[in-house]
This record gives sequence, structure tokens and C-alpha cells, in this order.
Amino acid sequence: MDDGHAVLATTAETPLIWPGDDASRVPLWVYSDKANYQRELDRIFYGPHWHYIGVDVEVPEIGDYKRTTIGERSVLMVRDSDNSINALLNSCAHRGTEVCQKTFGSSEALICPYHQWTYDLKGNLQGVPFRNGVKGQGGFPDDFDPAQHGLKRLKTETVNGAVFATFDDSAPTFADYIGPVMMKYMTRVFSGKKLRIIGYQRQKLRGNWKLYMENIKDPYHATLLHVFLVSFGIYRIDQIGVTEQDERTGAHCVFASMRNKRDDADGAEEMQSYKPDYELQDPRMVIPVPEFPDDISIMIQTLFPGLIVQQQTNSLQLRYIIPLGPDEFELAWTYLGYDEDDEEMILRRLRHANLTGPSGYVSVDDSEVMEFSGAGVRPNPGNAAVLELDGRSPKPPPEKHMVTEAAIRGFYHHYRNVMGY
Amino acid sequence: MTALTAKRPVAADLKARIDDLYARYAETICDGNIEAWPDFFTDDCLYHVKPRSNNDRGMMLGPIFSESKGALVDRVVAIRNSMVFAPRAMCYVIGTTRVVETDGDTARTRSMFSAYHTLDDGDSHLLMVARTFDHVELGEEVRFMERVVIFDTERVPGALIYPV
Repeated sequence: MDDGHAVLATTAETPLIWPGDDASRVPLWVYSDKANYQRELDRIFYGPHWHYIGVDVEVPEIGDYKRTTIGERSVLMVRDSDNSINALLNSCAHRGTEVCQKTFGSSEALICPYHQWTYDLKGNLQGVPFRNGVKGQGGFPDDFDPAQHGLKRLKTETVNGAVFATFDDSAPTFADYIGPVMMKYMTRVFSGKKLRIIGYQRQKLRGNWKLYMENIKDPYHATLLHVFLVSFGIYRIDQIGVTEQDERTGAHCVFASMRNKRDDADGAEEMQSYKPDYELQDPRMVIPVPEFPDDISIMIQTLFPGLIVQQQTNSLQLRYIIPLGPDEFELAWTYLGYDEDDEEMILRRLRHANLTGPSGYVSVDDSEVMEFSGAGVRPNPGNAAVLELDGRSPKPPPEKHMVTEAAIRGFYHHYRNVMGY
Repeated sequence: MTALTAKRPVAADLKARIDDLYARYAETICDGNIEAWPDFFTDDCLYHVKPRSNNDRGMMLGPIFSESKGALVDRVVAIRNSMVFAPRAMCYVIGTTRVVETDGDTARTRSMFSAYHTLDDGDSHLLMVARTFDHVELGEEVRFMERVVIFDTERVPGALIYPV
């Protein structure tokens, strides 16, 4: 048990034993241990979990493909000749070479540049050069069966344009995987309206990938770290928020903040006494127009293991986490709009995007804190994080309030089950 | 016109003014004097930083999209007062600069640069390599009406705090 003081880290050989029997303690070796990281790749990234691979409009025409990554593996999202979308491991069945190098491309067939093994858009091997040899010499054995040597094809599902894939055929359906509560929130953004890509941003951060998911599941830090929101008066003191979890697993969660009702007497009084330190000279990046048929102005959803769906006023973003070893990850942002957007709406989405990304007024703080966390946890694998705000249970508070670390505990409750700790 | 076809040489004094603008701009940021940075722009300027691949695919999105000098002042206030980040020094190395065309009152100009940042551990790291596509006002002062920074280093190492 804790004696009230930080325990000095143990030596290099950290036994992978979870301290305590709940998720109110998280051993810091989960952020740095190489064997644990390898187990995460096997059990989480290549196990029966669903990963975001793209949006259908990224591959509009037959033969279009997009390169993405699940865990450390390169995966191709390909538009098939029957208009369905396939996910294929980008590694030739011959010698393992990456078949496609471009991030976005288009081709009638997928041809490995090394020996021109040629696959159709489903990943079936169509042909290999010199199969029958050259002038009677060489050639493949008579029993060489192309059907046994296709590109590994992943199971896929599409929800209103969002495409997910898994390496493990035993994964439940996507709807069952995230559950009805999460589906309700996810389909606010993925509502069935045709999507449009506004653009991409990428960052490389020196910290463990889970730190980022925790950060998004952590409303504790929001007004403490993000001074911008408070000092520019963007944080509304009377703002109502809710936290929701997939209570079956604890794996996924949502925070939603409601738009203020001007006739709310208590809130109005407090707002009058609330003076920001600074006023924006150009407030266009925070002026919204109502877009959804509810009062939610900010919604942040985390889907295990590494997808974040966010609506921040009129900025719609996906953040997808790609682990780069235990100590580093890529944060890949996709900014969305709808096909029906007029120029003014696209401009508004660009303006609102100033709050997020590598230079985001809010996101800069998180990026930097990821690196501070990474630096602090790496040399101290024998210590444990303490998660006791709002108790020790992984369940969200019944009142659905946001003064809680329950969502992080929910994540680690699920993580322990998946990882066998 | 191909890239190899040289235009008539730009007057030496204009080239000198543009070089001086780019040098002072970089020095101001690298000296840590970011309060003076917005003064390099006109009131209704466009300052836009975006990755090359978005730009090549016709997408406007990037880390910074500012449509006025006021928005640049907002960013300075946030850097100084609200953003949380590890202290760092910036060093910009400007490669080529060029006046693409001029009508006498304004000029279209380009530049190439690399930017390094150095944290308190003392190691310097490449932050980005980039091209800029700019439109400057040739008044008593030379100011940016537009500065569009298109950077190749799309997987930004950490955060992009200071202007480029």
C-alpha cells in the first residue's frame, strides 16, 4: 500500500504485476515496458478489437486505395470493383515487401514492385511472373496454389461512411463492440450525410499511446491545464456536461457539454460576474452556428483502443493513435465536413480548427503534457499512478457529472481484462 | 514558362528590401521578440501554415489559419499567457528568397527555410522544412499581405508553438 510518499522505481526487471485489485492504481511500467508493449500489439491491435481505417469518401472510385496503419502494420483501404471496401495487409505474400508506397493511390490491381506478384482489389493473387519457368527452366511447383497466397484480408465494417477493420475474425460485430450508447453519439457525426475531408494533420509525440487516450478521458485537467479556455472566456462557468460510458466494458466513453441556455437564471448571474482576462481580437475561430439537432456544443468520444471522435462547435475531427513503440506515437488528425457544406461552412470549420492540431490553442497543451508524462514515467516503471477522483470504481457517476476519473479507471479495468493482468 | 526561363532581373533595391524583410522576420521570432511579430503584417492579412500534402490535394486545412493581424495578436497573447509548453529556442535558416513578380505597389515573393528548435536539454531538432508563398505590400514599410507557409515535415515533432 502507499505510505503517502512516492516509491522509488525498481530496477530494470519490472515484474508485470498489477498493484491492487482495481483500476485506481496504474503501474507506470504499462507506459514503457517492451514486453508489455508487444503483448498490447498481439492482444489489442492484432486481437479482436476494431480499428478505424478511414472514411469511405477517401477512396471514392474503384481501385482507389489509402494506406493506413493498425498497430505497427501497414494496411490498405481499397475500393473494390463491387464498390465495397476491403482492408488488406500491405505486405506481399511472396517476401513480405510493402506492395503500395503512396498514401493515396489508384490502380486496377495491386502489384508488388519487387517481383510483380499481382493481386486483385480483394487481395487474391492473380498472377506471378515465370510461374511456368523460362524455356523449361525454373517455374513454380505444380501444386503451387495462388489461392493460398493472397494478401491477408481483414474483417471490415462501415458505419455511415466510417470504416473499421480488425485482424481477428472472432471480433464481435462493430455495433456490439461499441454498444448502443456509444453508437448513438458516434452517429451524431457519422449521421449518414455524405462526408467530405477538410484535411489532415499529423504529430509525433514522445510518450506512450495510452497516455493520449487517458488525456481525452480526463475531464479533471480540462480547465486546469487549458488556461486558454478560461482566460479568453470561452469556458462557460455554467456549462452543463455529461459523461457516458459503455458500461458493459468501460472501454469507450463520451463527454458532452451542452450549449448554454440564455434564460438559465443561475448561469446568467454567474456569467455577468465572469470577466475574461483577455478578449480575442478576432473571435471568428470560436463563433459557432448550430449544426446538430441537440444542444451539445462539444462532444468528445473515445473508442478503444485508439480512436477519438470529436465535435468542437463546427470543427469535426477524428484523432487516430498509431503506436511507434512503447515510448512514442503518431497522432493522425482527420478533419471532416459534409458534402452539403457551403463555402462559409468550410471556412468556419477551418477557423475552428485553430483550437486543435499541432498549433491548436487547446491541443498544444495536451501535446506538450504527453511529452512531460512520457519523460516522467519512463525512468520510474516501479511507481504507480493514483486515480481516485470521484472514488475508485470504473463505473461513471450516476449523476453523469464530469468531476471524475472514472473513464480512465474504466479504460484500465478493460485493459486489465484484455491483457490478462 | 518553364522553371528554367529567367524573368527580367528584379531591381536590386527591391530584392534587397525583400531579403531584409525575410531576415528581420526570422530574427524577430528567433530573438524571442514575438510581440513585434504581428507588425510584419497588414491589418487584413492572411497568415496560413499548412502541410504540403493537404495543399497538393486542394485542402486548405493546416495548423494555423489567421485572417487578420488581430488574430496574430491573439496568438501572441496565448503563447505568452495561456499555452503550456516546454521552453525552447527557435532558429530559422532561410535558404533562397525571390521576387516572383511585382506591380510596383506589391510583390509576389517566395522563400525556402528550415526551422530548428532547441529545448532546455540542449539538443537541437529539425522542426520543419518549408516553402513560403507570399504577397508583400511595398509601402514605407514592407509588410506581408499574405504569408502562406507550406511545410513538408508533416509529422510535426511535438507541437508547433512559435510562428514560422
